[in-house]
Amino acid sequence: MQHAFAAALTLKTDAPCGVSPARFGIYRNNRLSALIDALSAGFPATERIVGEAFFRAMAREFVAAHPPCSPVLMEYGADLPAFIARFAPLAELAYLADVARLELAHTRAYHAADAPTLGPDALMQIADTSRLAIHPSVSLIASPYPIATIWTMNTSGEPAPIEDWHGESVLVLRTNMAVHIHTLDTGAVIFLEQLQQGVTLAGAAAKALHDAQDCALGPFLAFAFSNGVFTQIL
Amino acid sequence: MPLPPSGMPAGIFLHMQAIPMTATHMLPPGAGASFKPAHFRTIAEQAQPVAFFEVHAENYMGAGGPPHAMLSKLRADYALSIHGVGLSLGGEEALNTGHLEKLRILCERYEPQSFSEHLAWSSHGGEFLNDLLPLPYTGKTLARLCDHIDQTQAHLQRRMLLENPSTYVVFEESTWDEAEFLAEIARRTGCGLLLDINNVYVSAINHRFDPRAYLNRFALAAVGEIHLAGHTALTDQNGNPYLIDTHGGPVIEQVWALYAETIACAGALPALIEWDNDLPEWPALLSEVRNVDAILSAHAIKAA
Repeated sequence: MQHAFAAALTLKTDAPCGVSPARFGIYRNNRLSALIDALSAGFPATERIVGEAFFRAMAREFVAAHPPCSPVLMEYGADLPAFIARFAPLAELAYLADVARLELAHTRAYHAADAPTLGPDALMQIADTSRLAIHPSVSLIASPYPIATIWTMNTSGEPAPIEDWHGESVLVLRTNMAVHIHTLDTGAVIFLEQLQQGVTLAGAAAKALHDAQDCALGPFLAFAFSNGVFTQIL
Repeated sequence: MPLPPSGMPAGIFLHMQAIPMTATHMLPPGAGASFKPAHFRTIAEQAQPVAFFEVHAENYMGAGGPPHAMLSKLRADYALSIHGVGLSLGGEEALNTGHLEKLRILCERYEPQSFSEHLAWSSHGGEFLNDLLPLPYTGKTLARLCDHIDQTQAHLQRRMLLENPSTYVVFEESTWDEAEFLAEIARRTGCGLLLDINNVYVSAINHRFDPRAYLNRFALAAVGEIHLAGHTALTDQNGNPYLIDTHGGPVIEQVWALYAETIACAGALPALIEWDNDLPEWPALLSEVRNVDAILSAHAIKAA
């Protein structure tokens, strides 16, 4: 019985025998609209960029292709950025998938585990050989598009033409129970990626200085120790 | 030694001998409110005249962050009901033990006064269907539900409450009346019941039965909590009214009347205002909570 009901609910078949199609439609609508609402709550900037009607139509197709498998809906939508990247009607908005990746990282940072963080005084205790544990909320998103600028305009600001169209690398991080995004220069991104991989401070700095043209690790470390990027000196 | 609630025959807790049920596993018999993060700041500013708060379990299954910080603060100041919406107790398939374990961890962390779930199913074939779906009431579904509830209560090491659903379809193969089906589940498993009076009203209009007759058959002695909520009234293509359980507005007059009649029979019980959609500012929700208080006060005066 439930197999047929579930197939009809997910629009694979008509309403089951003996059930009023109009009444059955209430269940279909409840399911679909609640799933679309969940995606809308998780991807507000993406929705604002494409508009509500477009977003809901796209979300409907996403739900059909990637139905949730867990009752924990805060995890739903992990596949949406990749879906957007392949979604033909959005081919001209090449940056949108990266904006969606940023929003996904934002949600994950919100729910990430709590951990005590190192404050600025810990700067005195680090050595070249130190390895640093990174806060569970941290994500790095490097994009060839100005995704931080676009995201900010479409969440707290007003959309406007972007004169200086260039790639942005974004650090997503929860500090004091609020999720923030910060743009990083290339050197800081390489440095932090190296630390994430367990490389020592000296090793990470050497790689960043070698690979990046712009590299100001001192200010980045001061920023990182004031904003709770690190949790432990290993 | 845990005692069955008064009015229930001894020996009812056949499966429940190992499950502790103490006063800490009971909500206070006053008015509670759904907790929504949008209200947190206002609620935390000053003590609120609310006997308990209720949250959906699945919204607190992340690892950390603001949801847990808010819930910890709330739990420190108020009694708590954790209400699951994703366990699929009425499912034909085996229970999702991973999800059950997440519920156990949540109950262990917050020690809520109540844990409740639904007479419904919501997962099938590895897919979460994101709605509380209806099932036929037969000997077979009864046995399966009782097994799932036994498993849940054993895993959580606590008595749970099972909520009556709002439904839009009924099944010809049903051989049990819903209220009697719920009473039998409570009798067999020792679980308590969560009586959602708005759900009774919604189903009564949708399936053209008398909500008072349903409530007369309901095992009120097993009820550990009442839910009250708003719904949306629509008309079908034949001009017949039907209701959708939207939790997006105030409780209507008829549901308040059924609530007052229910506590006249059952006595004061914890009663929750559910409000999940089109969320108003906190004072609007609080004014619904005060309506519950007013009815409870009137009942107390009459009973004295």
